[in-house]
Amino acid sequence: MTDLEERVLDLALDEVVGGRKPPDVTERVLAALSRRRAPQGSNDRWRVLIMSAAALLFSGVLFVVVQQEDPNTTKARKLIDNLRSAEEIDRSYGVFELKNMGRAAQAELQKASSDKNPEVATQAKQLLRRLDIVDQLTPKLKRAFPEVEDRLCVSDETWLVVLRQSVEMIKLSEARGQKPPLGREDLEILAAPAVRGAVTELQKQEAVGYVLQYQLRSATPETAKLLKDEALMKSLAPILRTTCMNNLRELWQHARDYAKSSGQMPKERGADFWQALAKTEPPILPSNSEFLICPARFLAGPVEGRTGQYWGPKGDVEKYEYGDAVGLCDDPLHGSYAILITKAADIMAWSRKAPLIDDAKAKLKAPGEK
Amino acid sequence: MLAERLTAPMDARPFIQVHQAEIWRYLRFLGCDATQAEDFTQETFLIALTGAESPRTSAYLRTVARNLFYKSRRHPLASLEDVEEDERAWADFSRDDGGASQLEALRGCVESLEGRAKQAILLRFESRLSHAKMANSLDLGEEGVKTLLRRVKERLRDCVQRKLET
Repeated sequence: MTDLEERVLDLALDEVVGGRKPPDVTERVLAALSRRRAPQGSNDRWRVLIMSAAALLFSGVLFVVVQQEDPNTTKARKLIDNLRSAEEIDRSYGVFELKNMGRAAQAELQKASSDKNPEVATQAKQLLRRLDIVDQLTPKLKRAFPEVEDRLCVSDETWLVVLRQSVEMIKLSEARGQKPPLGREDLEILAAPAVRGAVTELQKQEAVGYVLQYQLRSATPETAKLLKDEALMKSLAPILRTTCMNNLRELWQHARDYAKSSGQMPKERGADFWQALAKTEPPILPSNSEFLICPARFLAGPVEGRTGQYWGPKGDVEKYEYGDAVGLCDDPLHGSYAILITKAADIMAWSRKAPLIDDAKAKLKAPGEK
Repeated sequence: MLAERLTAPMDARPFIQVHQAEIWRYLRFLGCDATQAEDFTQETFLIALTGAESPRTSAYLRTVARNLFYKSRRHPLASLEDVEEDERAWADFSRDDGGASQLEALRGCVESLEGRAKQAILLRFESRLSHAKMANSLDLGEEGVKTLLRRVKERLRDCVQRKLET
């Protein structure tokens, strides 16, 4: 039980068992309202009269000026005036109502975004950004994080926080055996700004980790930019190498499981040998499985001749010796290493200049090779 | 603006009656004691009813109440994350009825408790005993009382969830 859950339950028990029920404040509020409505003395009466007369005169002039104006424009302008107030409650009210107006307030907010008052301008820009964010968010995200757009419009950094919370939420549900409230499509919305918003090296590694784990393709243009940073690439290289080795191990394990159940290994050759695992009936792997592509290439995006697919066997793998290579990753993003898996499921990262790699390539077919 | 602020809506009474319990509970949830929650509930409605074009939604009332509460604290600023986490927990509790269905379900669950579990809940929330005094009454150590309470609360939480799902 979380602290928040316990706090709520304590309050509920306090009411149900302890009998501490909400008070009825109706009469007190109404009495206070009527006191505020009634002028207290002759000076107040005069002040109200004069102000009312002035307001009447002013509203008459204003009526002539604004009678052709869209009511939403007038309302939005008035609410933007609230943002200038010294009273926090007036500003909060202004922000709250402008949010409720949605796109109807957009034109006035755009004008206010260049307001001389920097606070008004900043608030207007945030509200404009919020409008775009609200359109992007999926219903599931809106349900899982009520009013999350208020956080997301502040800066890109907050996107990483929300992405982290989303991933935690998914993992927690999975650990409890429940259906996760969010899916990959929801994370896709958050991924690109989250990568953009990662500032420190640790944050960048974290963001890249999520993109890899959930195969968030929307973020690959951003991760490709990140990988050009040599220092970051250096710190990521061991993680990417290990992930790539795990991918080959998983793929070979699935191929062996398939052989056990169907009596034979896939008949395809080269990269198609691995891709065949996504074309069985039913498919052993989803077609966009994270295992089917080198993680480093996934993050950097494909270039000509480099799709990130793995090398596969050139001949009938059933006839291979246990020490023969059955899969290989030769992507230059792994630096001087090539990653190799043998029929006996031994997996290793070797210098790509080693004779062992040349021997392995003799038994394998490169992706795209005819 | 002043003229508008002095105009109370005609339907103030039902408006207050519909929302007051939820706002009071929400303030208690944020950390107010019962008296402070009562004062802030009153102030929340005064602000909402004298504000220009009050939107009269419970979300707006909660925003006003929250602002009042944070302003009253020595360190008024709460992080957006905290606010959002609170809002999520509150939304789970209040659903669309200000928490009435949860309270009703909890009432049934408390009634179904028996033996030491029920005794612990009554001592804690009805008699408002401290853990030390409860330990004497239940013939347990203080840690034992805390563990017992935690387990009973978990049972109650699960029971409420089951009732609400059905």
